[in-house]
Amino acid sequence: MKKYILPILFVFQICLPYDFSYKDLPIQQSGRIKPLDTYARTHLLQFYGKQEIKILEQDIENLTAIDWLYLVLSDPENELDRKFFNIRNPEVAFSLGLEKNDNHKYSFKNIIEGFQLNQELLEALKIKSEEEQTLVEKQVIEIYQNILAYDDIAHSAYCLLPLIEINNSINREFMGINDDKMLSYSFFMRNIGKFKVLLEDLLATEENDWKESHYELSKIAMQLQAMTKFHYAQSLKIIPGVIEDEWLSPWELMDGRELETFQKEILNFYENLFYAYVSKNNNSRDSLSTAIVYSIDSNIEDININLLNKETKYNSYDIFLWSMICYLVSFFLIGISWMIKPLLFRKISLSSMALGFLLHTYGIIMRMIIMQRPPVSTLYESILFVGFILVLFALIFEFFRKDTLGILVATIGGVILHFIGFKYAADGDTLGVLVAVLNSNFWLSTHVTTITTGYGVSIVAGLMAHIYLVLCIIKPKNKKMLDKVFNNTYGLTLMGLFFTMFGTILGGIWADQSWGRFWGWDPKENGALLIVLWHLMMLHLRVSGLVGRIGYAYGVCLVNIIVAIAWFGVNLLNVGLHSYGFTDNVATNLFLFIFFEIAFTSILYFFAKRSKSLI
Amino acid sequence: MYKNKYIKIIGSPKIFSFTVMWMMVLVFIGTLVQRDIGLYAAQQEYFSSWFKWVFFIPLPSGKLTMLVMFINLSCYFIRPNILHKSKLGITTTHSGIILMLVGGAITSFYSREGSVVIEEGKTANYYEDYYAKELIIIDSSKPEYDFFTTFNSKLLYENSILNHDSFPFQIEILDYFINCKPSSRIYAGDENFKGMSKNFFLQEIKPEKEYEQNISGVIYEVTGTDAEDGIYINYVGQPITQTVTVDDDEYMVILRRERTYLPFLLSLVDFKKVMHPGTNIAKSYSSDVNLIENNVPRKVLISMNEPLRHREYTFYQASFIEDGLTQTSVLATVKNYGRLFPYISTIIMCIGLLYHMLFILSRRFKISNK
Repeated sequence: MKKYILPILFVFQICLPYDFSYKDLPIQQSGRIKPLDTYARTHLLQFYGKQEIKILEQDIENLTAIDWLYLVLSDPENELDRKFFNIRNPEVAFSLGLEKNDNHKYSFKNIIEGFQLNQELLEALKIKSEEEQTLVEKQVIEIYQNILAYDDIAHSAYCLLPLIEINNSINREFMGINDDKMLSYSFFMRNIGKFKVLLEDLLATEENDWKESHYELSKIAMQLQAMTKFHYAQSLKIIPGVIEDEWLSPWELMDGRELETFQKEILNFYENLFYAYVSKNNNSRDSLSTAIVYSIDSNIEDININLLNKETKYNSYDIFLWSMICYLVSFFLIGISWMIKPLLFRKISLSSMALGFLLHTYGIIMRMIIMQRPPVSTLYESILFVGFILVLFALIFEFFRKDTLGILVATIGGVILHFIGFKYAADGDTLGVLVAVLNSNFWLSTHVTTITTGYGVSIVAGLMAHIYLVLCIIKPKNKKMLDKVFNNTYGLTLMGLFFTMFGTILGGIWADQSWGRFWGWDPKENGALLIVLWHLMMLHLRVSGLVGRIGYAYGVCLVNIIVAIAWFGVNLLNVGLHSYGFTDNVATNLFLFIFFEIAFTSILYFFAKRSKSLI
Repeated sequence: MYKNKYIKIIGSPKIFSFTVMWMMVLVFIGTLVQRDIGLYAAQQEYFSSWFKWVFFIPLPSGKLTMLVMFINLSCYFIRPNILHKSKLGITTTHSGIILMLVGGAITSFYSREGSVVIEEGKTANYYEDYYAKELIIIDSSKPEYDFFTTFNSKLLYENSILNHDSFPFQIEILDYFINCKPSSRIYAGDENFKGMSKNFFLQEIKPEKEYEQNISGVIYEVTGTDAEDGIYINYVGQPITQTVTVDDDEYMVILRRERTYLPFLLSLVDFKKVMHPGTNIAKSYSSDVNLIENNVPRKVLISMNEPLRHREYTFYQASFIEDGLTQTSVLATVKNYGRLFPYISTIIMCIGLLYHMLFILSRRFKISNK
């Protein structure tokens, strides 16, 4: 069968680009099937800190994650010298006895030597419990784990590499080889039946009677024996298995088990793929990739191959980065429009804003398609979605009011949230699978969507209140405009109350449906409740006349802090059911934000009061 | 506006604002302390009690604050004109909130929580409380039946004396620990120590953050048996049952989680769990259960997010225990009469707020059209 596939594909190759490239090859990791591209990016991010290796020499392009992965897989020994492990903390580098260097990058060999020289450190750290470890110690352990992971990846395709030569015509004929390419470990394991016959012949023959073919065979046998030492490298789960959706790595298939026909076929494709890669034949590389994907598709159920190249595309587009750039452009244009040609620049700014918003939406939709789940399931997704809602509401606002305030709110909020999102995306693969309780549930998805909408609207209300205070200071006499902005802020607070309140109650209903209690005073629930209570308090303070307009706006400004606490702060407590994301430096950023927000709004409040009293 | 000035004061939105403010303080602190004292203790101290004592000053806790809120909100309904079309939305929303508070009160006073733990192939007819414990004395001297005498954990305090016609001795509680650790005695014990306390003593330790993980223990003195008089210890999960023998009749004394018996049986046929392939992250788990009532068995599947509701009980797939080849399913059990309140009040509030927002919007448009 495979004899025909290749020529047919060869014909196709001339007229059509391939459906799948070497980036799209499926791999199973962290519970889902993803393209190799994502796998490469996640690991490069883990080791190097970025998704692309910068090459300092001129004339050479930067190394993308996927090309790095292929380099590592196809030439592991040389790659051990590449200085790309990122150790930013000089204390960590020093404790491993590594020399200082300017870009904080070290090679596998450097670090391994460092660990060998400081074995007591590692031994001591293994016993210490996680709570007692200092930051430096945690980082040392992290590096140790990275080194192990890297070693595992580097040799995981070793059995597929063309490293073995077979020249003797008798051996060649017997093994059925008719081209002159080098062979891999996997080739011999696939054809173990034939090879066994040769080996048995070798054992049966006295060493004195050995012919040339026998000498070659014994050499090959020794070579194979030597390669077996890498069988521990099993992290590359690229070949479908036969039990319970669990995929296998090439080395796992080499352990002498009976192989299925399709597994042999895929192994063969992969051997050829690496041969094509080593011999720099890009066309057959991609045709083979396509063949592998189709072969997997036709042999196992429950795989949607179209999602593979969608995900690769999603990875390469940097959609949210472009969306942020659009927002930024729009922000500067709005500033210009206040000085010259207001109508023209407002229009350009609005279109840039709209473009950014479209990209934002497109990115979220793409993620929904790839993961086949509702828009918000993880903390990272909630940031994307709150940004989306915020911009959406601000744009609706702009549509009715046409006075650039909506654009201003949208750009500021959009840029800041995108920026926070990038920080979270730097943790690794953002498209992760979910634990059982978060997996597909009607109430959960409605709850999360509503509450994040509530966050978004509350932030819009908060930003609007900022603008109101600023306007009170700079244009205290323009009563009509102030009235309008105040009424808008008031309306937005009502809407924020609406969404956060129902989001919270829906959360309770989800909890009731899933584990039998409506409310349990869990930190995340309390956080959401705080926002609701804050809105309620502000509204009733206003209704009862205890605060005036400026006081009300001041209170609504502070709702941003409450949102930040509810959204990120409760994760820092690390208790309860909802703590799904934890990052160390979040705490510092959060405190800084709270401090500056309080200081800033208090100053605004003070001056707004003063300019009002001056009238 | 109000006919009565006192009602006006009690029902003032000012009071509401301050109550909400206080509630926020409670919620904020009650959340922060969870890091140190755990969820259950924080809930007891800040939300489920009437007062929170700071040194000698009683500050209103969650329950009292919500009661004030309830009274304050109720006064809203004595206002005139609340059914005017401009107020209708607000009135509806307020009634929704009142309903929600009522539901919360019913739940907090009458709901019961616990878990049914069943091994595969076994049957259970009771659920165990997460927190409360009970001390039981079993008289197994009769061949036809065993006689159980139960004292719940409210009776287990220092110097409390337990006796009943069903057993011929008296128990005086010397100490009761919410959390403790059995440690072996270094010196040979006093002759007065009987049973397990000959070689072990109970050491009180700080309660765990996860309240369910506490191992409660009790030290008591048995009198009135002559030969078996002495000091005994019991703790939850004790491997060897404590016995007191009087005139050849054996009485077992056990401290365990408080049990509530169900009017039907649950037997676990099979427990299944599915993992995300190649990882240790659970994708889903479920229990195949036979619900046996009046000898009529019915097959039920209880899975994550799909509980079994039967009579006033609800059983949720909460977790599982795997010990070698035997799998044990843990079903969280809730008996709650106030379950429907949040659903109804949500709908009411939703209608109310939507009406109000639309009303404001339409008024805005009318103004701008003029």
